[in-house]
Amino acid sequence: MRRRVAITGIGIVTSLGAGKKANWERIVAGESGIRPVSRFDAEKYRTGNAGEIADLPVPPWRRVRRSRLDFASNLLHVAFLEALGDTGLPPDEIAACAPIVSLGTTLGGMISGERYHKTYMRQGPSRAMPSLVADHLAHCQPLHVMEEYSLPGVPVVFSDACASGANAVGHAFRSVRSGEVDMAVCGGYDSLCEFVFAGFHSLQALTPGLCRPFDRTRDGMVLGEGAGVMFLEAWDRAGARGARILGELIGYGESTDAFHMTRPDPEAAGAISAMRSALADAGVEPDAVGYVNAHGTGTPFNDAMEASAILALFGERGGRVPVSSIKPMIGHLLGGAGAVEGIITALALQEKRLPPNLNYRAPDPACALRIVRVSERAPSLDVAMSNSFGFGGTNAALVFRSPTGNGD
Amino acid sequence: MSVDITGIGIVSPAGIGMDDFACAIGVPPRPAAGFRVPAFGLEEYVGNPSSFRRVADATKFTLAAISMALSDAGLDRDRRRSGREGLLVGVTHGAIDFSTRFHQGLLLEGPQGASPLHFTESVLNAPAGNAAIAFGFRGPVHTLIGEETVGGSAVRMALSLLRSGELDRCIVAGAEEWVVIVANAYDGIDRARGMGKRGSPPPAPLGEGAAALVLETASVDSRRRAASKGTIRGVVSRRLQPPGMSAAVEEAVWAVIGLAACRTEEIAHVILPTGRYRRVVEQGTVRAMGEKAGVIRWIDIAPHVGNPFGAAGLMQVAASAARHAENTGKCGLVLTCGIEGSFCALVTGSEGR
Repeated sequence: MRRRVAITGIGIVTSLGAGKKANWERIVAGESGIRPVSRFDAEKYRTGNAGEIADLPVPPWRRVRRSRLDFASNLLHVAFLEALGDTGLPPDEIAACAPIVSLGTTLGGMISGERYHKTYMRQGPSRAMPSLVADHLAHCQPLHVMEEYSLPGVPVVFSDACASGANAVGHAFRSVRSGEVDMAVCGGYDSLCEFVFAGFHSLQALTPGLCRPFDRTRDGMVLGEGAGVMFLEAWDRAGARGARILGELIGYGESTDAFHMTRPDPEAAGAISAMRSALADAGVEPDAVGYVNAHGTGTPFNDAMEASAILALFGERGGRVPVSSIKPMIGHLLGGAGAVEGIITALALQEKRLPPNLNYRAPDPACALRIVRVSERAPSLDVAMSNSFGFGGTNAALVFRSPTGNGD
Repeated sequence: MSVDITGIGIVSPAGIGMDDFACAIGVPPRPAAGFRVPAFGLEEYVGNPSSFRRVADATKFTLAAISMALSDAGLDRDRRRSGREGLLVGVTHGAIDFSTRFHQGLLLEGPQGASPLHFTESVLNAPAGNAAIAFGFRGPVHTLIGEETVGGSAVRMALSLLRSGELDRCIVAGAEEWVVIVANAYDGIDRARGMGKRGSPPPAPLGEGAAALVLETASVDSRRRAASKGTIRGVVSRRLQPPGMSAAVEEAVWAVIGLAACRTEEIAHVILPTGRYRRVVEQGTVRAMGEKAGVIRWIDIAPHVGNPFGAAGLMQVAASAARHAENTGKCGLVLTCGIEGSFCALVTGSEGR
């Protein structure tokens, strides 16, 4: 059985704000959510900037005790609640549907983990609150949200580095399409913490300036934080209940480089394989793709690899397919990246408009792509792809179709 | 469609390799100071051990377990694998030792003390990523995070990928490493939650290790004439929440027995959870089994391996397969449970042996 899969709920929170509207308007306006980090002393690092969320509108937790929750649980809750509202269904009806909950994260509640580690090392084990360890574990944030809304079952939590969110969405997509479940809650999240900031600093992967994906002068990434959540439903079921369909997810592809833990394969074989299998899964030819939302980290190696993958996949059209990365505006959301960028891809299809690749100035011959410099109208946009690549050589691609597109 | 287990690899405090593990759990446990894996090298498990000399213990255990499972299944561990072979690795805490060392460097020396090695090898998908490099996995490779039930979640996902035809073969693994900071944290959590009080047995101490299974559909493994070590007949997972946890276990046991298309009379053994809520799980299962409960062999591997969290579920499946190897009955029931109430029930079968 292969059922069509509708997106009936979208929730998003990034440094550009909470909600689809705030994020979309600021993205198409080319605004940046990158600012000096306030959560910890970042001045001692190569950069002091990131896509930190300043004022998170934390919704009330009624069933779960608020005092013991990590910031990542709040991020996920904000995005979940917005997506839930889109579905038009009350929480008890969602719970009755017994959706699978499939989420991606790289670090879970690492802010709590940091607090535990610091206290443990400075003051000894007796002074470190053990509940911080429970909040730190990467499956606990989904469990908190499920408990809050009485969703049954156990979440599926992917930690595939920067492809975590895309793989979580892909797994949910397969589960709905195959008829295993009628509804899925999926997405990804990660919070900004010193552990990851120092980690990417140690790898010399952070830019001291602006993040410029695919630009000749690119010299690194900028980190961010946020969450993206989607509700997926069997198309016919969503239609029958009169749900507002926000988009269609039509394909998912995945692969592994088996090359190096942190460096992408310069031959791009894994990336090409993931993108190609996503298109085959969607049953569309490369020519149908009108936009690629790139992983586009702004690091020299990743962008060169991704550009060669796009050029190889699209052949002679490779240099004409519009491509952009939104990471210069919101930062790299790690486990949340694939989900949030997938959502922006779905919104691009809905709004018939392409998000810009901020800070792009100098074309790089090694990335001979058609980069979207400023947001542009795309009235005929019907199919778009979102890429995610991560540590461990993990690659994922999602293919979306416009909600008004030709799905037959 | 049942799925065959064609290879098993295990690294545990009770022994390295299936033979040692099966022998150890078949006799009373030896008193030990802690549940640690004996020291070993990777030379006999990977083709290029020097490439992995600085990996975390969780990764090292994973590499050895997968290598053993591939060999047990008669598969060449050194060849390049097709995109139709997947790898799913379940962990709870991951490489916490490296994570702790990274924090330590950062705290003591500032950014200059932050080691890129400790950072990259502490990411949760380091065991899976390194295994993909070591054994050439180019298809789906995922790391799943969860409680002790995460091995069951990995098996469930593997069944789905195999039955849908997305994959021909899937290796599932679970891994965990012992770290004092984690052991201390769980002691604190248990004290705070009153675990081990009110007549319930104290939770098993933190263990470590890895287990790996090679799973194939019957049509694939019969084509290459692989020897089956048993089958996976069904998996269900639930979240147990008070009150009514025991009743939820009973319902889940019925559900998995139904899914596995077997009868309670065919359940020859039950592998008990290594984690928290063992008494609750036992009570619910006894009720589900009814009169049959008295003749079932109840097996507890915790006295041999402690609670190896992310590796627990698959070590339990290995224990169930070891019972099937002794021709002791048609089906086994494997139960895992986590401190936040995740519960997984899995039925193994002896068919194909």
